[in-house]
Amino acid sequence: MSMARALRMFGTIALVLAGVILLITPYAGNPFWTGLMAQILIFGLLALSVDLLMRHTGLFPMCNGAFFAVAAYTVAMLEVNYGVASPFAALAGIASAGVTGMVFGVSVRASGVYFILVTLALGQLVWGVSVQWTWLTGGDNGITNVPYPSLGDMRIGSLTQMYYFVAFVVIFFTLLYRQVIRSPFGLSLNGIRDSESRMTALGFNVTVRKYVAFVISSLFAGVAGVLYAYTVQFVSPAASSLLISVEAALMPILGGPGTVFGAFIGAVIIIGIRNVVSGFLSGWPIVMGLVFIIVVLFAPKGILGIFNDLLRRSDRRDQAADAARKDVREAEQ
Amino acid sequence: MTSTPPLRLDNVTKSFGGLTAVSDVTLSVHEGERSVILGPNGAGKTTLFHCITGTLPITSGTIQIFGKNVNRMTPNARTRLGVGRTFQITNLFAELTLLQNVVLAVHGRARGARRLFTSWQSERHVVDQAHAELDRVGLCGKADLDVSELSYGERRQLELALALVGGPRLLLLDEPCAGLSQSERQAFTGLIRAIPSNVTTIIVEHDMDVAFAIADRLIVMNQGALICDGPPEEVRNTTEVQEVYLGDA
Ligand SMILES: Nc1ncnc2c1ncn2[C@@H]1O[C@H](COP(=O)(O)OP(=O)(O)O)[C@@H](O)[C@H]1O
Ligand SMILES: [Mg+2]
Repeated sequence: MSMARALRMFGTIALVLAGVILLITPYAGNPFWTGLMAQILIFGLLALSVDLLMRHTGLFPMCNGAFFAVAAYTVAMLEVNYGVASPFAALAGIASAGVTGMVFGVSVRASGVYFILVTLALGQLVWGVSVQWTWLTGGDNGITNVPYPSLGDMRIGSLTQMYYFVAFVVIFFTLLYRQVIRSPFGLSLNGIRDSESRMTALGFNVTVRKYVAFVISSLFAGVAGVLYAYTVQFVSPAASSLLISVEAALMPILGGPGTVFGAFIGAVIIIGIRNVVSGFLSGWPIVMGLVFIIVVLFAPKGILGIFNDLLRRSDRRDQAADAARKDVREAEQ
Repeated sequence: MTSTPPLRLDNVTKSFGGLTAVSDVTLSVHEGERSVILGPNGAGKTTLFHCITGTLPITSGTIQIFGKNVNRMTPNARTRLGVGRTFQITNLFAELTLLQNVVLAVHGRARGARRLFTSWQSERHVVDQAHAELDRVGLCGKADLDVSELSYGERRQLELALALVGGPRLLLLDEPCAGLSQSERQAFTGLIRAIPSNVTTIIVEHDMDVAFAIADRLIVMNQGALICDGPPEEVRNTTEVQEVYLGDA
């Protein structure tokens, strides 16, 4: 069997295995794993929202954790304090992230490292509010007892049901994300990433496009935030900490920037290290740092990039071998 | 007949701090004219292009494109008046395929690429037009290659293709043939000559053979100023020009 076929088979098996794990996790008998998988899905979606700007548009945002938190807090407050029906609370959560994105979107006027700094500062603003406006956010205590979502009489009654709900929503928005990436608008973002001056010379308004991408990114981050509030049933300043934004950026970098699967592979690694390795190793941030350094140095296209490069190389080798064999055959005739 | 000139500059000056890169340039080009700008390195040719396209704001003067004062217009708005340009340093979408490069050019001209929920490939009319534009510069058959897989000469062809998409009425080409081999240069001259004759074209070019093959008008710049302007044969014989440029060429 050729290397290329072996790799393809490996890829298929990995994909099927991932699908099976996704389906049966709640039956592993331990709610810890169910919760962990739900978080991987949620943070994978958040990572995609970052990658839309980072890999597809060439902007490095440090405030997607803020959109995530604004949505999570909005849902938690509306559900717990005002008993708002879940569909409205969820929509309000996404909308509040979008409005925050529309305001923070002024940052697209800055470029390069200034964009990073401006978004970092704006993100920290939300963190400051979540810690200090105790009357609104509960301060360090956060907002507890967020119920599972319900629709009329239909109510999600268990972590297992919640898990499947999360999986459904994340898959839906991931497919939507993929559609956006492949759209003419998505292609124009890639153009901005590669050359702003060329885009301008072709007649595009680059700033407006970056702004729209930024708002779309905030909406996806908002969806992740809504799911987080409902799944964890508790929102605290941890949701708005800079760490969330940093981790969400690291996920696609580790897994494979620019790919949908890469964001989720990265989420598995980072959520895994954070929750599993931390159980037996207090120095888990060091493990995270090491993994990050190794990947960035030796696999700049992430883990999925290693796989794709291997596949491309063995395909090319196969083609060369085929051509050589054909030459021999023709020579013999 | 007095039609509005496609491009008119009045006393245009551009300074970078103490350095005056473009100095009090007044110039008007006629519709369909092919002007070639000559001048030593650092004469201000590229800066002049940047001023016309709006990439750089001018320090003083006025620029009119098709009769419109564009001093306050953004570069992308000027493009949409019908201005196409190439860059002296190849400026392409490096991580995209040739087809994607040209599809973006088609969209840019048509104020398109606004859709979110269709795939770019499914817009057949755009893709077909992009293929046609690639054919025009001799890059058919390479549509699915990445820019990184192209030779330097092919990149210059793609650079020209992006500028030609959508039929610009005013075309600015900044040293399109720089760095090409003799034979590539000849082929490229053919491409430039094939540009429809109603397209007003201004070309910065160092190669005298290329310049004389395409120019209706030669403009010579030195130290930011226009020092000579007229029909090619006339300009060639001007002593100032021979000293400044042709002498050391
Ligand atoms: N962005 C810039 N900042 C400062 N000086 C510049 C800039 N661009 C060009 N210059 C200077 O302006 C002068 C003209 O440059 P340029 O227009 O590139 O000349 P040419 O294209 O004729 O070779 C040069 O002295 C160059 O160093
Ligand atoms: Mg130049």
